Amino acid sequence: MNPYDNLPEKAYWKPAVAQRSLFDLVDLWDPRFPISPKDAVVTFGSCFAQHIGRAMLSRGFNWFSAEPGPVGLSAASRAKFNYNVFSARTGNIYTTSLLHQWVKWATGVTSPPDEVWEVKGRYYDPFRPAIEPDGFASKDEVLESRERAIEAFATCIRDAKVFVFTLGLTESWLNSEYGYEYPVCPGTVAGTFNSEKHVFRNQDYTECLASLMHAIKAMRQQNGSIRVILTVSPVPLTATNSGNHVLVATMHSKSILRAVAGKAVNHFDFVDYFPSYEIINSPAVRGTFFEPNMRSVNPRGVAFVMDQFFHSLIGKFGSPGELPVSGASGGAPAVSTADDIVCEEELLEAFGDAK
Amino acid sequence: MKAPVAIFGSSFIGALRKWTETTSFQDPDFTIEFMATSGAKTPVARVEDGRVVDFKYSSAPDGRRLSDYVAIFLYARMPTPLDIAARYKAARESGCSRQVILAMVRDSLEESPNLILFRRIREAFHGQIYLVSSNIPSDVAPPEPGDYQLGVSLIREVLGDKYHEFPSEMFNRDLTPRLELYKGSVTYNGEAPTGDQSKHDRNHLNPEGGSIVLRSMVARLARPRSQKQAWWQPIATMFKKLMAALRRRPLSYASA
Repeated sequence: MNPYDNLPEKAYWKPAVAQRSLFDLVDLWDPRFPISPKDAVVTFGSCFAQHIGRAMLSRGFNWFSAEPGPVGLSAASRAKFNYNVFSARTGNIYTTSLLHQWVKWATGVTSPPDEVWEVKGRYYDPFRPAIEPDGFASKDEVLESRERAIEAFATCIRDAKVFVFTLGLTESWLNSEYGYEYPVCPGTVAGTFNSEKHVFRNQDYTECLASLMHAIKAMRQQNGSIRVILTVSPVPLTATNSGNHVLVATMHSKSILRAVAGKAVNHFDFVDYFPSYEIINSPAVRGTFFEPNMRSVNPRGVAFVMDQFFHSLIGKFGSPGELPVSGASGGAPAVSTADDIVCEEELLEAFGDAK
Repeated sequence: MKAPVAIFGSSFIGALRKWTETTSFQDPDFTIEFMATSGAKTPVARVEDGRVVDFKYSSAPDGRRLSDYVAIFLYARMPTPLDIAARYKAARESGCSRQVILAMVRDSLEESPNLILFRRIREAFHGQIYLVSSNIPSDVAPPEPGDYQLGVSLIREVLGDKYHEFPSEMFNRDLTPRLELYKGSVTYNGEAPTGDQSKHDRNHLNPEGGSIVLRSMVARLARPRSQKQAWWQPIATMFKKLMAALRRRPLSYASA
């Protein structure tokens, strides 16, 4: 007898993967806790997180938006102005350090800087540079809007039963003078790049892990019953400033994030990991779930990932019962197709196209 | 030959039609024609071969084409200035930018039956179209000072001159609607609201209220030149008034 004699089928590549059709892959996720249709679920993170919010809502779960936008705003305008893209109007939160920064603002540990970018008479939020496509009318408008987003983010932490966070990047841009982080390099989406003030940092495992652990602990202090589901975005980097080939930089970044997520799951019993990254990127899938650009995940891939999510939950905990079709608190997520995904980082592609 | 003017809409226009029938109202320059369908069904009306079809009630002659009209008023469900002001204030309180608020105002209007009807009619009619909002409910709470004007100005930012505002005679000093204009209200068939509509009685005007709205519409229209007073008539009137005043008082200020 040895430990491998009595392992389940899923432990062996040949029966679990090689001898199966892609669509017969099962048991990819062993969820730690159930999600009731009444549980408020919030979603934040990189671009891929938007799919999760939409899928939760379409299955009758209580996807919660703390900043749904004003009454009377159409679905198209909500999407244009980034309402209901995430559970608060934070824009993309790509890195664990950026998550920690938002948590510190929301919990009052630090105050957000009053930095605002002005371009041709319009004003942009460095921490949500694409949140209003044409910028704001004034600096005060930027700061007020940001303040509301922070309040909404705090509400999400306080009221959520499940906080879903999709880890996206290790590459980050910092303000060298004050140490705070931007979601994208200044001068790309908006603002002006200043090589003395804006510094690049490709965060390593230790840094990413420390930020994530601090953020989770701080959220748990605010809400003793919050549970966290981590995922790693399967979407490759649009561009890298690391000096490596973008394909190598992508694997470097995703590998670190995957390891960080695993460490957090091992450390906290209220944190789980859902393998969307593995499902999309596995060799068993042969790239089937990518669009022709080999970067964007196609709708079939999104549907497959989310089917795995819900089948695993039901398989382990049973059907959650009658699911209300319109379970969302505050409106439908703005995402409707893969093309509608809001991804500030993708704007970097324009700089590559010019070459 | 009088020029035809259309008033298309929902049950709101019943009060206008009823008043024209009971008083045998005749405008010297315009023939007023009505077409209506109940509020929820207004978007059912569509344009086919240059004609509006699928209105439940029509006083227009058979074969009337949209291009025959010199102007069209659309009077179906559309947010009132007070609705828009309330949404504006809620949006401001939640920290929305001016761009978002303007988009909200535009969306609130564009998704209303009146604007749906407008877009359909605009495809076949290139003349002047005016849009009237829903009636303000008779039991509305007195608005905060400035709210009504705020709503009007926001609607005008989107609709411009196309927006036809309710005349001031419809309001009390505190800008609540005059209740006496709602008592004995009628719907598009000219009868008292029944069934589901009776619950919305507070939204329908009576023929007296209808007459105020109708006269404000007619006042908005450009009269044919031949029917207008000659260009010198206002000057002559002023001169006559001046002479009368001079006769009443000594020319004391002339020597001052």
